[in-house]
Amino acid sequence: MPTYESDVCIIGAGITSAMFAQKLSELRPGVSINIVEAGKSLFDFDNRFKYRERMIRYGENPWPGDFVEGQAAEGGVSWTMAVGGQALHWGGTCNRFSEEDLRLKSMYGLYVDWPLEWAELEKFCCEAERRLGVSGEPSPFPGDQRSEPYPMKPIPLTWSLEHLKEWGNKSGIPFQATPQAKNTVPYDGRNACIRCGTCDICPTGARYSPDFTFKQLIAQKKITLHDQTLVRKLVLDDAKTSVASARAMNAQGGEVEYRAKTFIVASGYTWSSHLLLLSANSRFPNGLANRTGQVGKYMNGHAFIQSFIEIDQDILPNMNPQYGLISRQFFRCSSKEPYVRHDLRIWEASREAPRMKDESGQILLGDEIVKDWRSRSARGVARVRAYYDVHPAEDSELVLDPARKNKWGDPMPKITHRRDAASQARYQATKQHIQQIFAQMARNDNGKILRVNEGNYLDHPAGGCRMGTDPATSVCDNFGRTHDHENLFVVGAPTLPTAGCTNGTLTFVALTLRSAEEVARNFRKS
Amino acid sequence: MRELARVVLPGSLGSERIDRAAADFVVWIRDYKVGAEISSGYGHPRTQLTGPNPAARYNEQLAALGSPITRQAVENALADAKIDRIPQRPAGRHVAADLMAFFFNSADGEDLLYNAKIRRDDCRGLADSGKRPSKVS
Repeated sequence: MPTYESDVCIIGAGITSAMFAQKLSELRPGVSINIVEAGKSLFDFDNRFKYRERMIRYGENPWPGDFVEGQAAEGGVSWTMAVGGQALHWGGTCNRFSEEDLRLKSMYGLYVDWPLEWAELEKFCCEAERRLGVSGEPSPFPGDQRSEPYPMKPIPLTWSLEHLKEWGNKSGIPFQATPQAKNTVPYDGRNACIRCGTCDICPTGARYSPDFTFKQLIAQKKITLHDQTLVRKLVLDDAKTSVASARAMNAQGGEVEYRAKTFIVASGYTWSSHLLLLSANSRFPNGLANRTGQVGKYMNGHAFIQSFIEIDQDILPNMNPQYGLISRQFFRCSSKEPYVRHDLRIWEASREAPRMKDESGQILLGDEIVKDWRSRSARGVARVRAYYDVHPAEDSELVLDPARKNKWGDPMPKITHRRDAASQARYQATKQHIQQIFAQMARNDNGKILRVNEGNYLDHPAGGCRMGTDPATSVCDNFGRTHDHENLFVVGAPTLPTAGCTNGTLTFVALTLRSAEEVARNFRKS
Repeated sequence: MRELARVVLPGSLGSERIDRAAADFVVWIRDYKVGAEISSGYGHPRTQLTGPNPAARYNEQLAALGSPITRQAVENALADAKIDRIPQRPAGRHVAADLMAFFFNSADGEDLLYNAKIRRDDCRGLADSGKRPSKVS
């Protein structure tokens, strides 16, 4: 069996892996790093315009081959498995959490506190913004104070967003541009945004994606990337609790072994817990890092409610469709009032679709369709969404599903999100609160709520390897070091105790950068 | 296809743009790939592939419309096919509905409806994004 040795072995090649490897290689240039990824390298930047074109015209996947056949989780939000991970597709939104997310227990008597201070996390949020290249504007709320400015000015608001902001602000709720990992000027070797409107595949590279980082690291010989290689098991030292190796299958179906001083599981909220559970042995019969049964527990995400509101504003769709507004007004809630925390977002939306039959059943063709549509769709439409904070029950979990196995016979993960009792108890009040805000907004510009819908999944999921100080209730410490294995770290989304009430990528990248510093301390500088 | 386009697409486009839309549709059909991978999506992912080429029966359907193609012939064909809405994408039920779907869901179709040169498929730069797009007509 081929064996590859390195100082550090990173399992997974998504955004956390990219950020971790980049920082560690800067702090400790002499440290050897192997990165093992189950999916393919889709390093085809030169053809991005072509893929974009096919996506627009035919709805084809702009990242063809970004999955591994038979390797899918039930209950997961995405099947993307490739070098770059879900951050190949992401919209680039880089909202921050707030201090309240880290102080749920001490401020509100809810769930748990995170095991680190906001000031500490905020410092790494700044670093994450620098590395990702975030354009943004500061929040007007004192609680959102920043220790560093954004690296780039915000993306200019479109005509539609300017009008939506004016409308939103009339409700007394201040809106601002959402921070984006998109360049407003050339940055870090990548181009500036030219508003192609297809952030799912950014043809210019203005929107950050981890393939850029991996290509740089490979070119600089700072990492060795083994793609199409699925790690199936972590193996312990015979006499110790440290991890000795990772066993994998490569694309040819051959077994491969990776040996390292330190192992970093950077496999996202699904595959990190999954790998630890798959790695059960006689000494850890429930899986690695799972002495207290916490692996796969407290899977989290945030819930959301969305409305479409018709208003007397000249809103045109698709001016910059994946760009929008945010209000952080509801990130904070008084401890004397019922707990409800959420973000509030506005995007431009399309008006209703043209039709070919009117109310009388008459078929419409040609200009009749245009005339009919204009008579029915004279007003602009806003899409308004609130991501609200919910907390997971312990049995909000990822388990191995014996009924679904991959071609190697490994059981696939099954994720079932469950909210804790307090989150369930406040559900109606939360929903009512958010609907009242929609109604409040609709009172301006002759607004009419066209429809309201609730998400039927938890978005921006995280958890499964919760960080904490007590091994009885957590998997790792605030650096991601597992309580049970001194050389095994979990980084990124799985370590989050909660998913907050807005996009989590910036936060888990920040935590990852902090983990990289800790791991670097284990290696000498030379 | 040009003859059909002149019946089902907006005459206000002018004959040149109608012909161009018809020609674009023919190119779209030609370049269609059966069984191509569609993104598995986000939220509730699933494996998806593009279906059969929707154009399989277009020649037969065009022939059935006769020549010159009349509005009545198109209405009858749509009624026979039980189509009462414009599909989101060409779906192969009838060439007339699919041509409308192709056009009204295109950037040109959107611009015509909104009477604004949004040009959603173009990379438009950031500088002018705060300005209202100029009118189509």
